[in-house]
Amino acid sequence: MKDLSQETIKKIKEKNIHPTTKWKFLVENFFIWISLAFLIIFGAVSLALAYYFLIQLDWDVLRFMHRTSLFFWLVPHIWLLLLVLFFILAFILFRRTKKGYRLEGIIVSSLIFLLFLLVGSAAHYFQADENINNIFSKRVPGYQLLTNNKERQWSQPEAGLLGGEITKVKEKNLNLKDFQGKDWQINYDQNTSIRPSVNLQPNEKIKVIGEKKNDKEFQADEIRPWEGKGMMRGKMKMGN
Amino acid sequence: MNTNKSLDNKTDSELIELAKKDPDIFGLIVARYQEKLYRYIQRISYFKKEDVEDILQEIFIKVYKNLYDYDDSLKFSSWIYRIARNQTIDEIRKKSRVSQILSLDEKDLGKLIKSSVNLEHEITRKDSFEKLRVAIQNLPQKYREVLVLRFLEEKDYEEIMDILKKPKGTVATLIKRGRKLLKKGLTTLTL
Repeated sequence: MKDLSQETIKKIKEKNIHPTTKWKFLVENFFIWISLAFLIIFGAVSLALAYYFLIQLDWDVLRFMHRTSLFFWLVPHIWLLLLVLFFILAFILFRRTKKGYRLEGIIVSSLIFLLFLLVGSAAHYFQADENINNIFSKRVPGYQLLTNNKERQWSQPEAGLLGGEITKVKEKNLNLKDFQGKDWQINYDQNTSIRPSVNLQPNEKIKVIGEKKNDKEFQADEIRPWEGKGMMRGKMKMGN
Repeated sequence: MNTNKSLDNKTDSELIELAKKDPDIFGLIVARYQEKLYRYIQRISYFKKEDVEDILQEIFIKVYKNLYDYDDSLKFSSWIYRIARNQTIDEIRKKSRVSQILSLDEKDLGKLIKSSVNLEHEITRKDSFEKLRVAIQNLPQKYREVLVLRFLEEKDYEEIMDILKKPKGTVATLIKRGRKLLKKGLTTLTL
């Protein structure tokens, strides 16, 4: 092969090529680490918010899964999707740091998840998750549609889950205004399980598990208080 | 003369520091690495001599431009091999030269034979170097390049990790699987 040293030097001089300044590389490197720090914070907040929503939901109604869809529970949860996205981006960016390639994928993944968990726990402890959710709910159009909050979970009459506020109580049924402002007649009988802490009084918020009969009527299998499962006052009592 | 001699005794890192201020000194780096990198490019690509020389010059100019990016916590040779490998892969993609013959000489093939468990006996008994050349050529790029670095360039795992920018465990797995595939490919060709 020919000697390239003189030829290369000649080309460098002719084209007036200079080494790129140290600062450019330092800034690039700094930008990668700063972006990584932001991704860790975003990921941690997403984790905290996903957790915030998940603990809000009534998971024991999963046994009614034949009436609802698993898709509803997992996919529209924007924070879970963002959590995965931030995790992937953080992984890729970590690999792009100077020595990031040296660690095995499983170690990098664990490290990122651990950081998400630590920062996310702090965010949850200081109620940043709740505050962020409130800000998003008020200021981001369509945000509610992208999250599975409790109201949304209990606004699925087709799937057998209906929630709202009692407006009137009769002997065999009650009237309920759902979260969209629609009025329903909720029918109950001796087979309906009414949780101990449910008082069945006007203005009381409740959750009803049952079956939609038509556009206005809903047959209740179980009535629960809005907060919790309503098991606090001893055994479950039967309806009338 | 004396100056050149004293420069010849300097380490790569010392030369890099001097080359940042004086491009002529960079010529010594080029002289040190041109043959090694020329062979390396030939071993991982299908380019003709003239093409390899052009690619090599591009590599050295890239190295010169990125001198301040060199981190002396890793070997300079690993860093320059990394740039050479990336540039060569870019050129392969650009020119899509996938159907040509690899430039491995018999000495290279002999080294690869020794690298594979139980292969030496089989190859000398049954096969020709040509079969080995075909078997290597049939290997996926990721296995071929790792075998070239380990057994032809004689790099250790740490260096290969820095050249390929892959964790050590992945490098070890690639070498192990590459050797297995090479042996399997050769057996298939023999049968």
